[in-house]
Amino acid sequence: MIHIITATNPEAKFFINYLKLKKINSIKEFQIYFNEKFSLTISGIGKINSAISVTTTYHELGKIKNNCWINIGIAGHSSSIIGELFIINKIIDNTSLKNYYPYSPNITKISELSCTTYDRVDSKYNNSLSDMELSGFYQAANKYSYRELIHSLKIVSDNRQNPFNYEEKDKIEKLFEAKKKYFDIFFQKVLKIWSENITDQSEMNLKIESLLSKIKTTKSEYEQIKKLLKLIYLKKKSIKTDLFNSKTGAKKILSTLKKIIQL
Amino acid sequence: MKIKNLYIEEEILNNKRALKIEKKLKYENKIICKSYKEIFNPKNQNFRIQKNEPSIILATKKKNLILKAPKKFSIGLHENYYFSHMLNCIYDCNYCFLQGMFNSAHYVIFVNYEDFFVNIKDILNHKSSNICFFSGYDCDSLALEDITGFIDFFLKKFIKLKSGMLEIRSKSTNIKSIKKINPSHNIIPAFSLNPEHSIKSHEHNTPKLINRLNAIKELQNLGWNIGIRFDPFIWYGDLSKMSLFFKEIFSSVKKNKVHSVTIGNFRMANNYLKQMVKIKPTDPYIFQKYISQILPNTNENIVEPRMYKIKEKISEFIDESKIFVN
Repeated sequence: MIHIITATNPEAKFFINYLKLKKINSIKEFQIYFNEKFSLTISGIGKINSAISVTTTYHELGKIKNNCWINIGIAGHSSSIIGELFIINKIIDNTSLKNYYPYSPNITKISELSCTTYDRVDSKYNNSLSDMELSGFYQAANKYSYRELIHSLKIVSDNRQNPFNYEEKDKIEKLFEAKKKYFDIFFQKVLKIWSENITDQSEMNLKIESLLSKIKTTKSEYEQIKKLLKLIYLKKKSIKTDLFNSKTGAKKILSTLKKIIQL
Repeated sequence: MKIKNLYIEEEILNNKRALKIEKKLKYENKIICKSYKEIFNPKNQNFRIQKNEPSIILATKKKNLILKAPKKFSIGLHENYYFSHMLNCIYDCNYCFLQGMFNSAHYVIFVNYEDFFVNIKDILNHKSSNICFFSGYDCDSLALEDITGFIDFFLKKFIKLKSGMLEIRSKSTNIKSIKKINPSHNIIPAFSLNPEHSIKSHEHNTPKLINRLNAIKELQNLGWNIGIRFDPFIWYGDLSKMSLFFKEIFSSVKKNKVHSVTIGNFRMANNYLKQMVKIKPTDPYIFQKYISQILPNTNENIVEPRMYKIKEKISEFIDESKIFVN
């Protein structure tokens, strides 16, 4: 699953419509939307809000580790043209001066750049993109997922020649809509990395739990049998399930399983 | 060599060697960092994902350039040290401890080669006994030589030393740098070998056995004494056929030009194995090794006697004094 975190409603609007996301009305702290593959949370402005929104999303949506997390939003830059999309490859926290280096998902069609997270609005502009959320988002998401699954995409909304105009919020949605094709490419690549590397073992675990529920064991025997069964399934060895009944002792099961995998 | 990102420490932006290496790389983004540790060390990285598309980090090594080798790690000399001019390896051996030890699969190249040599000279000046230095503990010594030029630099320096021995351990057949200099008794190019079927299943992206043997023969013909390393030695199937494998090896190389043979089993600290299981949860080989370490009374716990049996078999072909169980 991909969790998208945006700071404001105008940044979220395009994705809510495009991905056909539905609002979870029972959650009051943040606006959280979702479908089968995506969730989107509107965090509010600032790195603390962004971090809390990640934590809330994680807990509200099943506490599933190693999902994909993407912070998407607008950012300022000294000279880049408005509407340009970037993958962030370096995050600089302007207050703590700590740097973070998100993993590059190797998409040649989208340029990469650094982004500096400020505590207050930055109107000076420089060669690093500027935002107010990313470092908070990144640190929080890294509690729940591998760095390789945490990304940020920023669209330039203002530059030295065109400072940010709060009256033009409607234009923000259009900035995102114009890059629809690139968001699709990005989401596909991120989901591919995720599905190839993060294995869902729930089916195998269910099979193992079901067998273990039929026998009496000590805690230590339970853990040993569980591990041996997992290895047997990984090695695609066959096993007689009638071995698991209330009459067979755990020691006998342990020695049988060890024989199967020649341990 | 094509990579996505080149990371470089800000203090070596104008370093001549760093610039030379940079010129040999095709990269899309150059990202400046304060220290390689900012990228390499953070926890909760996935080594396996990074291994698919690793980046290169150019850095300097400031501390612990030369380290004491574990007690049993020896090819006959009393004191043993190891060092690595790189962290990580272009190969992908599924038994490799690096994936459990490091948080990142990016290649770190330390460009301060001179400091490694100065440290070795210091150790030699302060110790009386003969000392062996092992290169390629946290990397493969030769595999990225065309980019780093480390061995080319180092051999020219080391050959002038009157004491000390250097082992260059590798699975690579890139022996150009060694061929450039005259054979020396204090430099031992050493090649890790395994049966071809084990190479295919466990040592991904590495040269075939036949190519490694050819590299050995080529260097022996030039007069070099070679180290042969069965470490870890991975054998499947009939134990009686093991002698045939060793016969094949030792009949294709010059036995009088074999400096030493080492044998080792799969050995890994439990916390490294645990980390490997975390990032490769469905690899049966890794999971088997893991549970063999944590479950009591498994056959795999009885590895030492097996190693000595292998030693017996190898001693049919090579003088026993040259064989070491590590």
